[in-house]
Amino acid sequence: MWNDKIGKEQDIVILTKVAVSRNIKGYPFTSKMSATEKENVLTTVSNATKDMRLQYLRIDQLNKEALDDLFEKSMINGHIYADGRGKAVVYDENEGVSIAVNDDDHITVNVYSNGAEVTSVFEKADELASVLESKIDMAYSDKYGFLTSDVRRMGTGIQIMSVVAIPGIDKTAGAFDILAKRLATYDWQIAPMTIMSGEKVPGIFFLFNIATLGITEKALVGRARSVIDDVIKLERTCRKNICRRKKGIVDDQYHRSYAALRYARRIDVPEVLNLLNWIRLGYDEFKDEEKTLLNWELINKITTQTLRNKRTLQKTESVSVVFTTECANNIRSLLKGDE
Amino acid sequence: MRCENCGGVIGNKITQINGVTICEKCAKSLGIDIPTRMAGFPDFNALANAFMATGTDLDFTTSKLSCPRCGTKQREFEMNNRVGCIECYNFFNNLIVKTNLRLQGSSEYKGRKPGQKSDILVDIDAGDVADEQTNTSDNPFVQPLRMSNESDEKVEEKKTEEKKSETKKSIYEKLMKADLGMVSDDDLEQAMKQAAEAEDYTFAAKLRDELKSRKEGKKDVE
Repeated sequence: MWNDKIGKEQDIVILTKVAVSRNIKGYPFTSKMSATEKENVLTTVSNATKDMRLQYLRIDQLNKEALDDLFEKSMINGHIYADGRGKAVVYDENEGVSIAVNDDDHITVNVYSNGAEVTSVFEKADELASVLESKIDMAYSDKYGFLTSDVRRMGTGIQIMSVVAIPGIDKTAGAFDILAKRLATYDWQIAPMTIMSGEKVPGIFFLFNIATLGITEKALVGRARSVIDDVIKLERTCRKNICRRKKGIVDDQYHRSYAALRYARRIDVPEVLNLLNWIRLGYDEFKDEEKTLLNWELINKITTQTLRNKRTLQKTESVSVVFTTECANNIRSLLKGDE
Repeated sequence: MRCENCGGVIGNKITQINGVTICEKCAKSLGIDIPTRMAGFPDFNALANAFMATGTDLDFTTSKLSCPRCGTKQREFEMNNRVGCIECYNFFNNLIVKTNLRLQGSSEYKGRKPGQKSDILVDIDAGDVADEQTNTSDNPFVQPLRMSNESDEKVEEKKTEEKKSETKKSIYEKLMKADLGMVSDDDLEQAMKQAAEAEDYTFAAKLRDELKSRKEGKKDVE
């Protein structure tokens, strides 16, 4: 699977995603499409992707287990999971490639990777998009570029997104504002991650580009790298400062958090992520390698699995015992290893 | 105080009907709405409901405009920045351009053409610098990022060269008007010589005094 690979700078950057939105000429955008038009788009895309060694699945023909599986592997997003009528996905889970058909736009090419892998992920997404463009006539204007259903994405139609865990910046007074201002100079934005019920996920943020016009792909990727570098540098400084100034507290919380994750029998998503924040803060300073299996890959694995828990799709804050027990069991087994 | 209906103790809320004081519980059972509102104000909930009821009808004059092909209304677009078809891009063109100018500082496409591959290799040659420079002149809103130190240096070099040629021509004239406190020592000295050559001795003396005071100031610091 794509997220088994070890990514760069994974103590801070959890994953990088590049999404390229394209629409097919001659059809209205998905919000105004009839069922027959959706079928036609599905056929067009399935024909175009036949020789691409990707798997094509109609979402509305899948059973619940298959749908859960796709969601857990990030191959479909929450919207498609909730309503799959007239939608399809063309994917390769090992390569982290997933092309959503009839989601917000007719075609959305998503490529994922663990860690800070902007260039390779961008290249992969761009290549797929350009192959599709050569086979299908896309909505394009010389003046405005590729036309998308959301006018804020018109132009390149490319969104580069990174999910970063920055508990250090989050817990340092004023650091977040400094970062947000810095990112604004690159035309980037930072936003807290939220789950469907509206609860904020502590310490985990999205970074994404705003500009799709007035910028070349090359400059966009260059900026993405600068943005991620800035975040990494600031976060490392903040973590070090906190560990130095509040040594006792972080040391204590780090071990407490580990204990809670390792032995808890019921645990909810926001709590897991909060505990993981303390582990991230203290890991470099206070880790005891011989006794635990903890390493950055495992920390990120727990994070991504928790973020892809179906509980995050729930629209209410109340959680059933089944979810919390399942969540705790999963984390326990990961931390326990083979012993 | 006790309730005149049931005889129980009355809590915080007192209800009086026709001069008879009753407790909250009795008031509820009698179907009397407890008058917690202030006199002269309508009930807030009723007011909020009134808002909700007319919410969908609230309209501006232009909101009724809709795309002739797909029927997307201007209001829909204003709400979530989404359009329904390619024709919308023509129909709402002004709005779309404005939205993007506000959000992105640009409304001009600079990306690749369909079917091509993006060239994202960051090469550290002069072409890169030239590319960035044309960008700046095209679009004053977008500050290009320079990818390498080398290109930085090159640009700097160019600038200093330009500066040098300027100094030769007009430094004396410039200094006539300038605030002397903002000028470098070297420039002062040069200008002083030029002023002497132009036989403007009063200005040359002024420059000399400025230089002298600076040198003395430096000595003081040391």
